[in-house]
Amino acid sequence: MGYGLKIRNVNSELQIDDKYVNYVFNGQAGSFDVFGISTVALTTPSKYPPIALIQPTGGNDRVCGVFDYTYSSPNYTHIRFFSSQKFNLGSGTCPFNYRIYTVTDEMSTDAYGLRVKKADGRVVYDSGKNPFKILEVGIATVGVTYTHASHTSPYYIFSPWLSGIVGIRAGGQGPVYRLIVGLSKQSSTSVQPQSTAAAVLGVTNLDFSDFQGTTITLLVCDPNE
Amino acid sequence: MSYGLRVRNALGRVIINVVDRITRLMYVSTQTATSGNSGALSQIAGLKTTEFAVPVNADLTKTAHGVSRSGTTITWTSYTYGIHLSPATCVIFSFIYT
Repeated sequence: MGYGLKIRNVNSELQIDDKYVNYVFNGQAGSFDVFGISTVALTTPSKYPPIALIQPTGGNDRVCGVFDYTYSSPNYTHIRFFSSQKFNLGSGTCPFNYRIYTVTDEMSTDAYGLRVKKADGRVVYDSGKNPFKILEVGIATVGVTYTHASHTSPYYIFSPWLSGIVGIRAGGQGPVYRLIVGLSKQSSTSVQPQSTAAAVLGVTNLDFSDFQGTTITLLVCDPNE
Repeated sequence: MSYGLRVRNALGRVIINVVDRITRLMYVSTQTATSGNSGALSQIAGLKTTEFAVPVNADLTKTAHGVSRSGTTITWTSYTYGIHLSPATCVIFSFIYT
């Protein structure tokens, strides 16, 4: 760049620059403990996709994740979460916490601090708005516990959001389950991607299964509360 | 600290420290349900990113695209299974954290 500002950490990794907007906490956080879908309406809809950090807090067979975003042009307006019990173990609830982060052009109301704007005048960083921090990044396998020994009770994000399908003949005609992969708390320093049944899509006379994939990229995060 | 920026909020708590990794949004693209495609992003060379493909206005029969990165190319692939599962329209986005 010919001018502007770049802030790097001690590893020379960029934290703030004058080009890309930082994700910051939008003020929305809460908890659910349900079997099914839960919806959060964004208090400030945005044209940029939000990020929801999740923290499963339930038993080690309880699973949660983000299901989808609701978009109504020109803004993202809602985030929907799913939560239930590990596939084939029942229909229990999954307790979890969430926090929502967005990129925003809005300035904080702070009277002092640091505010960085890009060339067109829009805010890219404002010290009055908290970013989340990435503590660790790893590859996690569905059904295998991922341990983050150095970080206790963090929040998580993951990608991709894997799907699968299972048909169970059950002695004649049986259900076709639509599976989705979420996260399950194993301990304060470990988590496990697990499949849960999101729906029954029909019936079948065959036994079959198919999965989109078996690994996810897991980001262990500090919500910077 | 050796160098860098440390930011405190009004209560005096450090909200950015010199060792922190935080995120900056650098790419957004909405892809229709059946598209599998890729995008070359020269600006991510040498940087660490995470890519997302999030279903938009989905239902229980819709799936998210798989998404991955190789070099400076982000690739997304739809997932279908028979009559039961079909891909949702997805927003593909990427953030930098270094």
